[in-house]
Amino acid sequence: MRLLLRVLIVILGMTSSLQAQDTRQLFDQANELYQQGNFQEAAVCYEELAKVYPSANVYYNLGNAYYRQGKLGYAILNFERARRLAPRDQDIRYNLDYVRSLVPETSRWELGHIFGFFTPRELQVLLLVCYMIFLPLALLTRIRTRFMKTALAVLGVLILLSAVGLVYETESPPKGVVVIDETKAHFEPGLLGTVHFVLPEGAFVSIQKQREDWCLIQRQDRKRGWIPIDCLQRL
Amino acid sequence: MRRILCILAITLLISGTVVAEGIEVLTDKTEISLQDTIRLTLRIPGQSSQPRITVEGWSVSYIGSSNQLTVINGKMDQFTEYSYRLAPTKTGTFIIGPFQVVQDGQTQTTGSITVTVVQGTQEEREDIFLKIDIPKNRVYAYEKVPVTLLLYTRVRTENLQWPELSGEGLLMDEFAEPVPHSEVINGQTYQVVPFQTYVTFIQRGQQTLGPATMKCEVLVQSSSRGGLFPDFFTSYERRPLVLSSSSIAVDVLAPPLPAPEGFAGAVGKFTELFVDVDPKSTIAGEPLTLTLQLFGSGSVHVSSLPALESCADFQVYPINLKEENEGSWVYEQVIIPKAPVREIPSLTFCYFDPEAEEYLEVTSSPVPVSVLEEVASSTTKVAPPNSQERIGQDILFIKDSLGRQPKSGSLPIVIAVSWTLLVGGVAIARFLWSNRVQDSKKAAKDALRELSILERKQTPEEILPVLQNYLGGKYGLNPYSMDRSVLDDLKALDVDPVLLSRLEDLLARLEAVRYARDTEKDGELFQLALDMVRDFERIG
Repeated sequence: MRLLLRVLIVILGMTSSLQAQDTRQLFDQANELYQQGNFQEAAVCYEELAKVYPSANVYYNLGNAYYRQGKLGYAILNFERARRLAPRDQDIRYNLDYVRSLVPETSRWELGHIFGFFTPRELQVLLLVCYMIFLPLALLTRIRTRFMKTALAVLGVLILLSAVGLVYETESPPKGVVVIDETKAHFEPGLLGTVHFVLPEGAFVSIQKQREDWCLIQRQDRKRGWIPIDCLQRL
Repeated sequence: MRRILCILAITLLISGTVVAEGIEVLTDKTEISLQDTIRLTLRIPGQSSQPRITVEGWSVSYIGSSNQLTVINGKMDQFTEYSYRLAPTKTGTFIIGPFQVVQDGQTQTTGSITVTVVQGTQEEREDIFLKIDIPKNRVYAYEKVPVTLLLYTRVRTENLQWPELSGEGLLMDEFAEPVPHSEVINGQTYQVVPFQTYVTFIQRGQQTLGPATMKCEVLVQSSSRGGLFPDFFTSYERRPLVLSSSSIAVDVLAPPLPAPEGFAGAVGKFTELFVDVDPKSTIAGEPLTLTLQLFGSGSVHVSSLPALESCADFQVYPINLKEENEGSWVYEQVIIPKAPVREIPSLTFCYFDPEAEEYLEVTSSPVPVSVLEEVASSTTKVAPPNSQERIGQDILFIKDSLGRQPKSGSLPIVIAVSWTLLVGGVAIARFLWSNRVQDSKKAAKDALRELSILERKQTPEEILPVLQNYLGGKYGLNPYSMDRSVLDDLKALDVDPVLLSRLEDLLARLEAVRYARDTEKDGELFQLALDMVRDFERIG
């Protein structure tokens, strides 16, 4: 029995090691294709890689590959995905800001930016750690000194902020990026509906509702319109 | 028997049915017009994957599948029907099929059917039609004329395609994005989709505009099962439709003669002509870029633009269109000054205005330049270019490392709950312990107070209950079952042995007093009890 367990552990170890090697190999291959100027093939490799290893760097490189093909919408989409995984990475922020500057509509969701400095995972850890310190301090000690009162107040504010951030991340409407240039937003979900406004490729929108092949989107200025679902990619 | 076989054969022939190896090919019509469609059904026994069919000369769209199960005399038969809509793209007699069907890993071939497609006539429909709208029938050659194709519809349409406008000897711009609106005609409300464009007739004489055609699909109610909820079961099928408008005769005139000098065929209405040159300071022999910006509306060709050919001071190159916007054109031309010049002379653009029916001109202002002699170029110091550093902008390069894979899932809430239970439990225990200490202190305080009251009243029978209450409260003992056995309990609680011995002595004396009271010793007993309690407070 013990021998069988050992064999199983060795096989599992080999499998995971092989998977890691394959991932690394695919990443290197995609980078090589990118450097050779085969951006389309590189993008395909990065896309495949992102399915099994969705790291910020993979999305960043994928965004670069799309940008080099002139697909601003897909580039912004993947830079934004990378930013959400590594919000304090300067390279990702630079490329995202640069590519967004090429899009006429560059409005941003400000509330998202307040909490955009942390990933949801980091907010969870912050919330838990603050709570674990706050609870014994509040229940097991006598609040007499000013220092204790200040510490408790700071911890309380941190708990509140991280909780609001988590709620915002999970409860706010999903966001998306327009990937087709000059996408027309109609008053009704159909081509016969009057055109309300036109969205450029790479525009950042909030997805309000979906109905068959159309979805209702909202711009930063709260203007809303129906666009074909194929013109949009969810973050 | 023979008659039955004949009837069966005729029935199969009429319904266009072909049976081959159990797979049936069914169609609802065998002769249709070019505008009509047929419904083709493959009826396959058992289960199979959806056959992908293509028919030359037909556009095929898959409708859906259905399963049928029949039990006749205990024999169960199962069929799968795959339905397709076929629309002909040309006339003729077509053999549709055979098709390949993969069933249980084996490829089977179906039979085929013959369908005849005739030209048919375009039916006039009142619920959907196309119309050409042109503001005038008498135009000038090369005049840009606005044309609107109006689609009037009262039926549900889908997959509208851009209209096509035919006509010989005309140039057509792209259609603008239509903005639909509603219009009431003869009491009927139509959805009107206007497709606006501009056409330019380049051939003179009597010309024909149109007909315009447009392809779309009309949703036609195909079946309704009725009953209580008819709307839920109403289905629509798409029928392709080619709309055609009537054509319009247009009389195309030539601009009147004689034309003024400088007129090179531009027709329209033009308001301004701006000329600029870059750089404005150079030496002879160095190229300059001349920019011409023309405002207005109409047809302009590079050959109709003013040029500097007549000016011997410049060597000129062809004019190129750089930018064309709504109501303006920007052209660029490279010119090389052959000799020192001080200005680019004014340029005149001559055109024919079809509204005013006369020839008009727009003239640019002269542009001052400073072109120095070529020989002086070696000694002349040209002003250095702007020293402001030009910073390039692009995205940063890709990353070499894969990066850290984000951890999936949320932090276990078990940690937070466990921590809450642990800390909460400690807080509750601490609270209870604090209450107990407070209880014992309160009991001791009460005992002291009661003893002092008893001391004044001199009633020794009540000393024992007070002591019981005190010890019960302080050490958590039952005050109502307190006798000499309490000494053992207190000993187990590590109470000072001297105190215990004094307590034993006091209890004995109080026991004795109950049977033989000595009033003279009452005060002594009170003092002993009081001292005892105080010592318990101090030592115990």
